Amino acid sequence: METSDVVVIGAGIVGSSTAYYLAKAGVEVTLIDRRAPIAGGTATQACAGGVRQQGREPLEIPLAIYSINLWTSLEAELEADLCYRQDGMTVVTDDETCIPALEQRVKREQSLGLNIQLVQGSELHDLIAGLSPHILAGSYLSTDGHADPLRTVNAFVDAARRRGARFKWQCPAEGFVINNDKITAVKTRHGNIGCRFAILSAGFWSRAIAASLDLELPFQFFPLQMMVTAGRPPVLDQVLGWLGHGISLKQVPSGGFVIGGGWPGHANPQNYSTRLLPGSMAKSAQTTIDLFPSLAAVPIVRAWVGIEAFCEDEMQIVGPLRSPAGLILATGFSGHGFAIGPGVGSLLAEYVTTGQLSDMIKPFGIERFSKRSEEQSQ
Amino acid sequence: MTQKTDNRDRTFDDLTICRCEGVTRGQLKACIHHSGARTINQVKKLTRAGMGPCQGRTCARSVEIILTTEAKTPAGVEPYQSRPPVRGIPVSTLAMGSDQFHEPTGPVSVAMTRTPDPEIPSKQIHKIK
Repeated sequence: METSDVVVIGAGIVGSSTAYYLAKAGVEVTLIDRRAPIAGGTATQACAGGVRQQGREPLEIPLAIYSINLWTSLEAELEADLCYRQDGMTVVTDDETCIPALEQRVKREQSLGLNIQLVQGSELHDLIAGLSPHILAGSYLSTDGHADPLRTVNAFVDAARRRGARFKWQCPAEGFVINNDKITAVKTRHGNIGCRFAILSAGFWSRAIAASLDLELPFQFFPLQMMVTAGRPPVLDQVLGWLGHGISLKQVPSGGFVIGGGWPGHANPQNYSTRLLPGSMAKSAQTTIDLFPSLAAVPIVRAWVGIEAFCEDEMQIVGPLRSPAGLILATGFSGHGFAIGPGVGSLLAEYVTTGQLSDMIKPFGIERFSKRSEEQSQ
Repeated sequence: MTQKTDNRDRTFDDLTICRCEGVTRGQLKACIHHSGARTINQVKKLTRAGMGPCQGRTCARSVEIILTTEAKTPAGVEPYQSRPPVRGIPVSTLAMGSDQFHEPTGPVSVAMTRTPDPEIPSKQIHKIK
């Protein structure tokens, strides 16, 4: 039987970065994927490429800060152009009644170590030219930014290959071989791969693989829409979000504006087929104009849908299981896994090599769901 | 391959294949050799060839030929995945009548844009349950 110290299932940002950091640490690792990296319909596809720390649950902010520190040297580390830009991000509001809450969030995030500020009125419009005049305030963090998700995943895979990682594409995982409550192999359509650790990072598709162990991952899928415009000269260096409205907006280095924001589409995860909702496209377009009016005349050239796994509490499931030993979950990133993906990969590699689970990922174990249901039943 | 054809082969590397995104033959070749991309859609996602305003109408055949030649594998079995709206539509045109659609009523909750204080009602965002 083929063997590898670690088998990583799923070649998205989490799986590919985990494989890279393991290979870098000298661990024998095999990354397998049902299809191939950057195939359509998946979470990588639905990713808008935001690399942000702000607007996260307080529990997640140390992990986000750690990840952004990795991001700032990631292009050099992976020897690849990731189109990474660290030009800041501002989440704005046009609603006066929201400003106190926004200010509270800014203060909370400052206390967690972010250099974030509340920017209001003309100061905000000087900072971001082109915002709609009715926008009143925003939370600005200069160290947030964006990158190209497809290039990033591919760069991790490439760099992992150079470090000696092995790959098996078109190789769906079907379950696990367990001996004495310990993982000894990953079952795939093309045979078993013996291993000491298996890392499940297959997005929504993790659920079916985990189900082979009667393990229910508490998430559902959401098909999220993305749109992109034709290229225009650079006018927007920051990433924009808007409280209470579905939009994330950025201009990528090729000139196009990428429009995300959680507008739903239709999808069938079984065959990766996705479909756009005309209402979502129209409402996303209207939100875009309401935020950044000069985009009204710019043509949308593509729109698409990708599938992301959302946990009930909208936080990822990361960490080793007690039973069976050797299985590590890294899935269900609930629409915000791209920025923290490299951090999770690096910390999981650290866990495999040292046996120490970082405090930064401890809050995200699957045990939190069983605790919750116990509390509810009491 | 002789030295002569090798040189000539490189001469054409500056040739722009995707005019919309400014992708050259050399960049496409490098992508195919370094990334192991073997379908036209993989090449598209890595180089942006075919992602511009014409959505690959101009370059698809050329990219296909380069892929077939460089990867020494038949690439023509898969066309560029076509994406709505097929022809570029101005954002304002797409937004017309956006209030007439019943579905969806709002975007999926994304922590970033959720109103940070639960006491202030979020305008339209669904909390996932």
